[in-house]
Amino acid sequence: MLRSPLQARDAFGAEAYTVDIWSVRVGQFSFQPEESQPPKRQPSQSALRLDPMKDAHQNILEHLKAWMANHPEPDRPMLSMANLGVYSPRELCDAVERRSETGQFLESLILFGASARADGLQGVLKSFVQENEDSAGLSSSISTVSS
Amino acid sequence: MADICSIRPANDAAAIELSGWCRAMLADIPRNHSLVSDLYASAATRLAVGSAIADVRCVLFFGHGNPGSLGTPDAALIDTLNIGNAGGAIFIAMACSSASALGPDAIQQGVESYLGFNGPFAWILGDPDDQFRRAIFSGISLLTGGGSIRNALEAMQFGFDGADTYYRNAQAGRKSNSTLGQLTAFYNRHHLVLLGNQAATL
Repeated sequence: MLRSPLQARDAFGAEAYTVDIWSVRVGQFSFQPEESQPPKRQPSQSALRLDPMKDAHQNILEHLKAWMANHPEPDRPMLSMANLGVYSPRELCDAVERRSETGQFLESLILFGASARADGLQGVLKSFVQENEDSAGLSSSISTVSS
Repeated sequence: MADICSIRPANDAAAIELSGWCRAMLADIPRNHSLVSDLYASAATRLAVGSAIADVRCVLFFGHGNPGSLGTPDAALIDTLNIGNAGGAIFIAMACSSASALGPDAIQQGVESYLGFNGPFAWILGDPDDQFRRAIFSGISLLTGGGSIRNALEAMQFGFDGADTYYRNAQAGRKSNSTLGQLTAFYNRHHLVLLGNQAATL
């Protein structure tokens, strides 16, 4: 399914064109103007940009590493997969880096999600990095539930 | 033909969680349907499973899956050799990937309907926002309440759409990672497929 062409839009959403999600380099995905949605805090800022000189795998890995580095509980399992087990943010990053089956699935999740979003891969990866900005509330919610 | 058989191997953390979802659903089955067998944990052997899926109207499987089998890759509980035992049944596989190969095989071997995922099935660990279990539950409840398996599919898709929206929009008050929640809900929704007779009912 991921190999089928998808509709994407140019930087300003003006014109649709068809790309193959696997063959395209990240630079061809839609980009939001940097100033339209400024990051909330400094640690995220350097990780929010897609690097058009790098492929999707490298960009995803870099963003996930930034996400993991700022995650309040990087070793706490947080994702279940019905045939691959449970994973923490650190394990997910490792999996993507090693291109294991789990890593490839996570990339598939991200690319599949990006194919349906107006802000594309940039938007998905940005939301990963910004996720930790609610970390205080997230941690307390978990603590409350588990106590 | 008796009503419902459930299989929930619970052989690791992910499968234990799925097993819990299934157990909760079984408690909610209307009284006009009967649970014939509930193969849980070590009771879910290949031999027991092969026997239990014969002559029941509906099989619920909650656990590991692969394109060609249900169970772990080195210990398949259901595959091409025994899926035919469920001939005439509605088969619901809440597991990874089985609808891509085992599902079509099942239909060819006489299973009436097969509802499952044709890709990995993932969710936020513990489902702390009750988005994923609820999506599955809504579909099965519709089926046991008299709806068709098509109704069940649509209810599950609707539930995953709801989870997608929830995680995309609800930043405040959430209990888990919203990016992964949104991505997994969206992926599950688009990889849940129904094969065979769409109008089948219990």
